[in-house]
Amino acid sequence: MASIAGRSVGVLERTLFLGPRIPNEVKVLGNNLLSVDRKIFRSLLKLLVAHFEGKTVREEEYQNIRSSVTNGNQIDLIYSGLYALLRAALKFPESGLKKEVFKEDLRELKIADDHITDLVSIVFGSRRCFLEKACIENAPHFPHLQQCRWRVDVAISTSSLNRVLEPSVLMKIDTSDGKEHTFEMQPAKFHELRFAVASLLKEMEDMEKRNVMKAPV
Amino acid sequence: MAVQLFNKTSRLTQAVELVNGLDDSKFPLLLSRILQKIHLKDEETFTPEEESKLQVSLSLDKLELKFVLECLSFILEQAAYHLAKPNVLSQQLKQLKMNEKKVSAVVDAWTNNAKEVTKKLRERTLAPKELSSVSWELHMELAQSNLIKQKRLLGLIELGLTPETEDKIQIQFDHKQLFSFYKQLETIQSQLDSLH
Repeated sequence: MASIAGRSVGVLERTLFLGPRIPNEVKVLGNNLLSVDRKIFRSLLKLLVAHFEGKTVREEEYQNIRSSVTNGNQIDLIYSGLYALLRAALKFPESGLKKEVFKEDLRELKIADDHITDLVSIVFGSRRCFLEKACIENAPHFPHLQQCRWRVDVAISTSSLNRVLEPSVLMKIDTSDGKEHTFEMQPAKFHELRFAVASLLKEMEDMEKRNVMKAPV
Repeated sequence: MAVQLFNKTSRLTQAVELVNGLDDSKFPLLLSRILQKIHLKDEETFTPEEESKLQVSLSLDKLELKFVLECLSFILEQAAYHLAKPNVLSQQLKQLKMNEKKVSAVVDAWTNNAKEVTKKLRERTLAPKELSSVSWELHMELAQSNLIKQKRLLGLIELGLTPETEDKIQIQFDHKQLFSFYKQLETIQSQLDSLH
C-alpha cells in the first residue's frame, strides 16, 4: 500500500500530506531550521506568502536575507524546502487538510513546534482565501466578463423606411483579456441571450444544491 | 394630401415608357423577384447571367435593362419607405403615365408582399456587428496545477457575431459573476418592456 513509501520510523499509518515521495529539501528542513534565527525564518515565510498570493518577489529582497547570514547555501535549501512544503499544503482545499493532520505531519518531519505554529498560521490563517484566489487566477481559463455596458435604442426612421419604431439593444462587453466587443441585438436575439443565461444559471444552482447534499470529494 | 412618392423627372418618365413596352406576362415575375431581394444591402437583384437572359426575353439592350430594373426598384423602395397605400401608389403611378395593366401588376405585387418587405427592412441595421448565436456549457473544475480536490462550477458562454469572419466571444463565469450578468440583462428587459 502507499503507506510503505516515504516514511521514516513513525507511528503513522498513512502517507504525509506531501505525498509518497518527500523532496530532499523537505527531508533536511527540520534540521536546517534549528540553526536559523526566528527572524530570518519569518522573513523567508513572508516572501513565500507574497509569492503564493501572486505578487512578484524581487530578487533583492531574497538576496538581502541571504547575505545577512554566514551560510547562504543553507538559506537556499531552507527556502526551497519551505516552498515545497507550503505548495503541497496549499494545494488542498481549506477543508481538505485538517489542522491536526498537518501539525502531526510536520512533527514527523522533525520540524520544531515554534516553526509549526508559524506554518499553521499561514496555511490556516485569514489570508488563505487570497492564496486560493491567486491560484485560480493563474490557472488556465477563458476570459472573464470585466464590464458590460448597454443601451436600448429605438430606430425611428432609416434610409429605407420612414417609420420604423423598432427597439434594439447595443452592448459593449469588455473581457479580462483586454478585448472589447461592441455589437447590436434585435429584441428576439436579446431574449435568446437572456434565456441562455437563465438556463445556465439554473443548471449551476441545481448542481450546487446537489453538491451540498453529497459528501465532499 | 398624400405624400408625393415620386418626383416627375424626365429620367423617370423615360424609364416608365420602357416599362410600358414590356411583355405583360413576364412583368409580375420580375416584380416579385425584385421585392424578394429589395432588403439585401450588397446583393444585386440579378446575377450577370440572369441579366443577359433577361435582356433576351424582354428584348432590351444592356443599358435599357439596367434602366428598367433601377426604375422598378426605385418605385418599390419609395413605396416601402412611405408605406404607401395601394390606391395612392396606383394614382401616382398613373400620373407618371404608366399603363393600366402595369400599374395593377405593380400594385398587386406591392400589396401581396408589403408586410414581408417592411418587416425585413425594419430589421436592417447599420451596426457592423450583430449577435447571431448564443451557446453555453456548464463545467465543473476538479483540479488544476496548484489546487486539487476542487468542485468549482464554471459556466461558459459563447457568442457568435454576424460578420462570420469574427472570432466567437467566449466568456467564463462563476456563480457570482453569472448572477450579476443576469441581473443586468433583467434591467435591460425591464427597459424594453417599458417601451410598450
